[in-house]
Amino acid sequence: MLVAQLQSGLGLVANRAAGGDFELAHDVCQEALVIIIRRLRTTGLENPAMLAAFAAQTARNLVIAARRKTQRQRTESYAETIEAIADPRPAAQEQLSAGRIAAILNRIVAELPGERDRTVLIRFYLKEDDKSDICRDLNLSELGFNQVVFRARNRLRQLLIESGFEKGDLLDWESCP
Amino acid sequence: MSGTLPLPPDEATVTAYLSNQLPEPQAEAFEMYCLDHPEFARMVELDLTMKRGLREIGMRDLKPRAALRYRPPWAIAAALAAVIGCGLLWMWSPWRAELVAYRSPSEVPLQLRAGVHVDMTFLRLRGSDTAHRLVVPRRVGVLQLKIYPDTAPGRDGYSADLALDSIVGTRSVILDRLRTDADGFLDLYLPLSAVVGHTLNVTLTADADSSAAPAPAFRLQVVAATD
Repeated sequence: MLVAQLQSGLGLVANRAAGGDFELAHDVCQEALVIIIRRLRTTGLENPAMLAAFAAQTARNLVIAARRKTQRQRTESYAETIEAIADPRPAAQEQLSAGRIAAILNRIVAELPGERDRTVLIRFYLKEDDKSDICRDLNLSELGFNQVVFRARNRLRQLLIESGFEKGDLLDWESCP
Repeated sequence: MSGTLPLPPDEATVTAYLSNQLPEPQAEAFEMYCLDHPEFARMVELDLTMKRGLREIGMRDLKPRAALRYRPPWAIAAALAAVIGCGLLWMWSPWRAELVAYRSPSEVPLQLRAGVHVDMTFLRLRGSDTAHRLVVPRRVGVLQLKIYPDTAPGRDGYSADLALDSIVGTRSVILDRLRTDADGFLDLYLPLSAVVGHTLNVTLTADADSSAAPAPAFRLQVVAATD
């Protein structure tokens, strides 16, 4: 129950704090949940209403700690060697999950009824164009725009769950079977 | 910590958050709202997943696909007519006709003999194929192939398989019971118009015991000087 309530929000906090490093965000999210549960089972919180704030700060602190740890482990003499050995690509499991997400999105894009809907998604999500600009360029009402995004989002949710992503685990790409 | 937002953040705020364009205090307030409202947080997660997934697919793969665009019925009908027309043209084209080759000069039609005469000599190198390129001055005339077989003829002499390759298929003709002339050469004649622009493959076998020796294979690419 607690996990279901906090996981999505914690994922967002951790993702932003980690600068979009999904692997780190995933680890931090899990670790933060463990810390929060332990804390609640032992000393508890002085003000239970501050649970969300405590969770967010825990996630941010964990990201900072992870970054410091990485900095400490990086020594001048070995830095180049490590960089030469380390594979810069994402872990295999993450690559697999990312590939499945991409496949799902490819399917969603292919299912779109027209080129205009496709353009809406690409401009809005990928190019991060302003909504009003997109509506003006495509001669689209705000309602029409919202419908396109709403339909795509719902289809994504449906396909993700069908593909084995548990509800609330959408940022947890490694959790898919 | 700047506290939670009293109302659900609007779309502009969500977009700005996902683009990392919200100032730090507002971003923190947004995240607090997400932690307090799991359903809303899940929707933002979906948007983030959408962004990440689309980035995975990449810009190149998401460009409009011409093949899926709407085509008016008249354009489809025109394309269909063009395909059928090309098919009919091909069926009636000279390429459908069988390849013709002649065994002696006397068999060559007069109109071909009136044109240019080009001859090409093939000497078999044992165990290996040969390839040549021949440039002819005109398309009207006759091509004389002089082939020197170094295997003994079969009981019925030699058999020559002449095949023309092109993008629309292969035309071939087999001439058998061929005999060498006094100079030891086999002479074959083909219309230049048939071979120009194509590659001619010549395989010679001693028909009585073709397994006794490897078949000599000659490959000749014929082009016109004006091409």
